[in-house]
Amino acid sequence: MEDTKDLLLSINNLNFSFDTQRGVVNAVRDLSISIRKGETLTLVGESGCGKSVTAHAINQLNPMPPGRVDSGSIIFRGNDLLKLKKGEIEKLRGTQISMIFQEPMTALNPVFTVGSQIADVFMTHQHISKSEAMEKAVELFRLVKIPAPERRIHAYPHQLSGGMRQRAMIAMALASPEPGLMIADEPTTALDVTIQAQILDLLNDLKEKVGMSILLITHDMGVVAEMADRVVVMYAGRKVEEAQVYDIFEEPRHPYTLGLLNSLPSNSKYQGASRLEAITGTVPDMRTIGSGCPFENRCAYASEICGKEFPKETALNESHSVWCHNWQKVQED
Amino acid sequence: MSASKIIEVKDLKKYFTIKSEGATESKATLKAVDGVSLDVFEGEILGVVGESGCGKSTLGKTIMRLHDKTDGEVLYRGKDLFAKDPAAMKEMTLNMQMIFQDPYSSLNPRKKVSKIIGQPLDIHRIGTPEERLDRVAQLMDEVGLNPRFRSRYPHQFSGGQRQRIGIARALALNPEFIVCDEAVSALDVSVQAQIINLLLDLQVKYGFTYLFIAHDLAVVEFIASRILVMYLGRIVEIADKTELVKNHVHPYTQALFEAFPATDPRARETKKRIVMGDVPSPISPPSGCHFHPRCPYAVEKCRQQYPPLKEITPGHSAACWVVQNDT
Repeated sequence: MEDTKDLLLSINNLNFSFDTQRGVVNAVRDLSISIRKGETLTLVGESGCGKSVTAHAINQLNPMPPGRVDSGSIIFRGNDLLKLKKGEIEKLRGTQISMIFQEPMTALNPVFTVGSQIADVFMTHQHISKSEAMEKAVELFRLVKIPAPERRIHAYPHQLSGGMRQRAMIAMALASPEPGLMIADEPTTALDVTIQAQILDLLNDLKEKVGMSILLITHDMGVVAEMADRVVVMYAGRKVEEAQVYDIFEEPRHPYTLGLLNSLPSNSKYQGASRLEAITGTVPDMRTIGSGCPFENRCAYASEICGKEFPKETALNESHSVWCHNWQKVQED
Repeated sequence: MSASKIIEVKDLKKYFTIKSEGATESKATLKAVDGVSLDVFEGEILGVVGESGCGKSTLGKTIMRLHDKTDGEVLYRGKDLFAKDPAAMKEMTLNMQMIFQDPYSSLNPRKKVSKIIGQPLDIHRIGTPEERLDRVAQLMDEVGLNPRFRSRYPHQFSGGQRQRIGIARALALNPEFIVCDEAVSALDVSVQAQIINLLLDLQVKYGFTYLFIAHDLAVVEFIASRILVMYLGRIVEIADKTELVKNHVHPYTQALFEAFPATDPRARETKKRIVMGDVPSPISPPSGCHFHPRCPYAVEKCRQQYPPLKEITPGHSAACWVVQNDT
């Protein structure tokens, strides 16, 4: 289906679970996604849908145990990341797959200056001297538009504002010779909205300049609308819909995607309305989900088969797929 | 609006003293709320928006007298809230309640749900124990919780259900004024929509007046009838919702609306104007208008004098020299 030449990363039928004291949680079930060169793919879903677990499975950041890969493969530039040894994956993390987090304060080391932390990345992976590395750090700070970069590289993380810290994190993620994939896990969730706008703008800008792909994890449909080329909607560990960003917003076919969009007070259909069309109920307990569709208990379109069998893929066009027995009913509405 | 005023806030100030630890012990003053005046009318939903540190939560808490004021007045139906002795204040709290952001930390984990919801009734000694139990069951039903779960503990509920418990507790005394402090911010969007609906349904049913504090412009825009925008401790703009959405004049309000991600991917083709810079520290806000370092329209006067909040059209006020044509 896809042109493999453009393919940067593909996750194939990944099953990831956690052993907890109260049973096994199948956090990610039979998930396949692919990211092409230069594109932004967003994984969107609510708490516990498995979007972060998926992202962290790529560079093995999930704690294992209790986490474990039950089956599947993650192919990045021809290598199966799940088969790599610890040292090999560590090498990839600093050079080809970088990551930025929701709360930069917890991801930065508080006792070193931000400049020296970035210089470390250069020194570890490119074996250059400290002074050269510091010069490169200044360049990166300039690239991520931190004002007065020569001064700021000597700042400790707590001396920077939340927005500046996130910029420093982004700079660190770019400190690699061949940036391939940036995984951004809720990068703006902890930021104020005017700062969020700056960071999203910066990411879009850099994507073009550096030519990297972005895997963006978010719960915020506004961020999706702003950033995504393609969107994968997840619910309770499953991929339920995948499409170009315009199709997701304009022609959602999965009842959950539709419900998510209807839950947004900013949806244009609510001009002058006094109520939202909310999805009823809550996310099911991940330990008790059977073989059926996990959305069945909250779904207005559910029929008998939904509780028994997870639906197969229905391809609506070359990039739009939905996993729902009753997607046609959604279309009719 | 012909409705009567429930709350009048007059030039309210709430300052915190910050002590910095270290070799040189120094004190600084954080002006969380710095001269805010507003009226809340009966039956309205007054939305308060602003970014972190703008003082919106402190405003709500000071109105509820959870903080002591530094200066100014808060009147509840014409009576000064801060002049009251504790006994009379207890009387007042019958009519004023608060719903908090975090449904995890605002419920006592060691108490059963029936105890949590029934506590206001216990404190004010309303009804017999049996009547209180009935009332708790009725309240749980009202907010969409199964009364059979009344002997459970908070951790046995999901985030959305916990927020419902917090709402039931706020309803217990039949208040008329409720401060919702980021009441839906910690929830997933699908659950957030349920709670917004619940709050709106209750408002219609009981004629509550809400002070609805949130950082999420879309939520406030949907729920409120009037919106006020705060920046670093002061009101920068206030208007009816429809007016503010259509015609926001203060440069900060404009920046806020621009920055808010549209939930329409086609909207990104129209290049937005992004306001640069960070929100300054409220401990040492910029001179003059606090927004001037980030404001594209700032003139000399903005650097020197803080603009007063002035009415531009009836019911719509803004604090900006440029908008007021007074540069």
